[in-house]
Amino acid sequence: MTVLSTSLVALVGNPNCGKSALFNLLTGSHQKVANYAGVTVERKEGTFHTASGKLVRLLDLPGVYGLEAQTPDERIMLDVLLGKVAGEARPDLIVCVTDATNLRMNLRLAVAVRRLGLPMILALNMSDLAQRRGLHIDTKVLAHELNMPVVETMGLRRSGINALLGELDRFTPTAPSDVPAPHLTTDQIARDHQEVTRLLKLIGADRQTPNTTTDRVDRIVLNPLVGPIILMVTLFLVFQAVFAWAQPVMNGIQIVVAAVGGWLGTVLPHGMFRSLLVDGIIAGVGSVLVFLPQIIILFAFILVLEEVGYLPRAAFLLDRIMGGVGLSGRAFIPLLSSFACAIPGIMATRTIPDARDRLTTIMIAPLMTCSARLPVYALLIGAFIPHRDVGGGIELQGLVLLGLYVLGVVGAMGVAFVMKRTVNRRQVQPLMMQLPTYHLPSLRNLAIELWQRVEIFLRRVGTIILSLMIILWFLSSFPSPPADYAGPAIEYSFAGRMGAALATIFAPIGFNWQISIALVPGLAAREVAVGALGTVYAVAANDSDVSGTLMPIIAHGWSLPTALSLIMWYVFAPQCLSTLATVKRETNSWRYPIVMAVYLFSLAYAASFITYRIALALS
Amino acid sequence: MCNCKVNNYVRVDEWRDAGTIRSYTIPFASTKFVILNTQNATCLLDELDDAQEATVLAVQSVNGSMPPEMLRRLSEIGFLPGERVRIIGRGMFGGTPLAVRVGTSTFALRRAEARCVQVTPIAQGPHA
Repeated sequence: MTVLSTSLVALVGNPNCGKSALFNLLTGSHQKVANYAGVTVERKEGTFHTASGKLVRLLDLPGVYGLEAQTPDERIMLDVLLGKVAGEARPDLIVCVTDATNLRMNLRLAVAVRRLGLPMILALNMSDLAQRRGLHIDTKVLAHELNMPVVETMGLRRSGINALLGELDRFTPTAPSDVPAPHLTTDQIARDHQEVTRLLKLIGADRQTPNTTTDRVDRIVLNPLVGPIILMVTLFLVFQAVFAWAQPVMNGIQIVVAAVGGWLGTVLPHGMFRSLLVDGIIAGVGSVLVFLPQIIILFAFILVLEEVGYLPRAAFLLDRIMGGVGLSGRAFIPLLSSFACAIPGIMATRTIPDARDRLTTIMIAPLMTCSARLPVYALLIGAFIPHRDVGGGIELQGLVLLGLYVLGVVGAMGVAFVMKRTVNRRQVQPLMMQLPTYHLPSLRNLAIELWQRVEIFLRRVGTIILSLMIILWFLSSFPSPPADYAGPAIEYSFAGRMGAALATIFAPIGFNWQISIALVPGLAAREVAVGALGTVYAVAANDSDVSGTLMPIIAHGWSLPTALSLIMWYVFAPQCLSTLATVKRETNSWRYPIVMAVYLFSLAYAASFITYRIALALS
Repeated sequence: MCNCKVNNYVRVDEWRDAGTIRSYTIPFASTKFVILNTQNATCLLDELDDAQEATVLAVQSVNGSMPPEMLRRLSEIGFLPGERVRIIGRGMFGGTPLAVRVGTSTFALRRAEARCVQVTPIAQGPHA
C-alpha cells in the first residue's frame, strides 16, 4: 500500500438510493457545499480517514438514472467522471451506490458506469432492508461477474459502512484508462438491462418482490379523494408550525436584538460608529435574522417529508393543478416556503430538476405573501379598513388580509401562465418522477442536512445582506442635516433625496414624499418600511409600538386611494434586496434578478396605478 | 381489461390467427366484426385498467410529438421491452399524472409520457 496517500473518491448512484445518507455517514460534519463553476449544480465534498489513516476526499455526485447527460446535473456527473471539468481532478475511484431492494433498476447504472474505465466498488446500500424483505444477494458471485469489490452497506447505521471503509483502505490508486465519452443509445440501455437481468438470475435476486407496505400506504396517499385531504392537513400543519410555533422564538430574537442595540447605544459614545453599529448593522441584520426560526422549522418539515418519501407524492397530487399554469408539481414546496420568506423558498427550488421549471418557480416565489409583508399590511389595514362584521362572523379586516394572500397567489399563477405561453413555450413538460419506497428518516442525517441549509442562510445574512444593510444605513444617514434643519434627518439624507426624486415617479400612483422616502430603506426588508415611516413622521424611535402610534397619523394624513395603492404596491413590488441577492446566487447570473426586479416593478406600478385611479374615481 | 378499442379490434375473418378471444362487444356497430382480443392486443400504457399487469412492448412517440431524448429518458428509468408494468394510481382530474410500477420501481408519468409506452396486457389478470 502506498504511504498515506490521498485519494479522490466519487459517489455515484440513482436518486433515492440512500447515497446522501451514506455520504453524511462517511464524512460527518466534514463537508463543503458549493456550486460547480458556472452552473447551479451543487457540489458536495467531504473528507474522512480510513482505519489505516488514509485521507479520502469524497465527492457526492448528483443522483442520476443513466449516463444520458441531458440535464445540467447529469452532464456534470459524467464530465467529472471523465475528468473533463476544469479545476476538478478525475476521481481515482468510483463507489457506485445501489439500493439493494431495487437492484433491477440500480444495477443498470453500475453496468454503464463500469464502462468508463475507472476503478470501482459496488455498494449494496439498504442491505438490511433487502434481507428483511427476503432478498439474499450473493455478493461473491456479483463481485466475480462485475470484476469489482462488492460490499453491503446500511446508510442509516454507524456500523453500516465498515465493509466499505475496509475496501477503501485496500484500494491503491492506479492510472485510469482513457475512455471516450460514452454515447448511449436506447439499444445500449436495453443491452445493459439484459446484462442486469442475467446478473440478477445468477445472484438469486430476480424475484420481483413488491414492497407491500409502500403499496398499502400509496393506495391511501395517492387516492384521488383521500390523498388531497391528507395533503391539505399536512400543509396546514406545516403552516401552523411555521407561523405559530416560530412566533415565541422570533419575539425572543427581536427582544435580544433590541436589547443588544439598546445596550450598545448606552455604552458606546454618541457618533457615527454607534449609529452604524446599532441602527445599521444590528437593526438591519436583525430584521432578516428574525426569520431564522421560521426557516429552521420550515426546512425541518421539508427535509422530513423528503426523507420519508412524501414530497414526490405531494408533487404527484398537485401536478395537474400546477401543470395547468406550466409549473411542475414539485414547485409547490418552494412556493409554500415562500409564504414564510422568499429566500428559503428560492433555496428550496434546488429540488426541481428541470432548469426551466426551476426558473419559473424562482421568478414567482416573491409573489407569495411572505411574513415580512404582514407588519406593513397590519399597519395599512389597521389604519384604513374599518373594523366591521360583514356577516357570518367574518371580519372585514381579516377578509382583506386573506384577499391579499389570494391576490399574490393569483398573480403568481398568472405570471407562470404567461411564462409558459411566451419564454417557456415547448411541446411537452416531462414529469417522470420516481415515487420511492417510504423510509423512516434518520435523525443524524436530518440534523446534518438542516444545518447545511441554516449555514447557507446565515452565510448570506453575514455577507451580502450585511453589506446591503451598511449601504442602506449610509444612504439614510448621510449627509447629516445642519443643526437648524427643521424636518426629520432622514429627509436630508441621500435616501431622503432619492425618495423625494422618486416621489415624482410615484405621484401618479398616489404616493406622497413620505411614502417614497420610506420605500428606500424598506428595500432592506419590507417591514423596515414601517420603521422608516415612523422616522419620517418623527415618531420617537424608541417607541415600542411604532405601528400603533403611526396608525392615527397616516389615517388622517393619507387618502384611502393612496393607502389602497400602497397595499397593492406591497403585493407585487420587488421591495426586498435580499431576495434579489438570493436569486443572483441561485441562478449564478445577474440576468434573472434584473428581469425579476423589472417585471415585479412594472406589475406593482400597473396594479397600484389602476387601484389608485379606480379608487379616486369612486371616492 | 384494456380500453384500447382502436388498436385491438380484429376482423372476424382474421380472428382465428389472432389468439384467444376473451370477450367481445358489438356496440350499435355498423360493422359486424368488432371483437376484442385481449391476448395479443397491444395498447398504450395510459389505457390500461388500474392494477392490470402488462409488459412493455416498445417505447415510441405516438404521433412524433415526443422528442427523442424524452423517449430515451423513459428507457433510462426502466421502460424497456419485456419489463412488467402496472398502474397503481391516477391523479385527481383527467387521469394525469399516473403512478406506474415498472419492474421494481414506481414512477409518476404525465399522460403524454405514458402514451409513448406500448404495452401488452397479461391476460391472466393481476394476481396470477
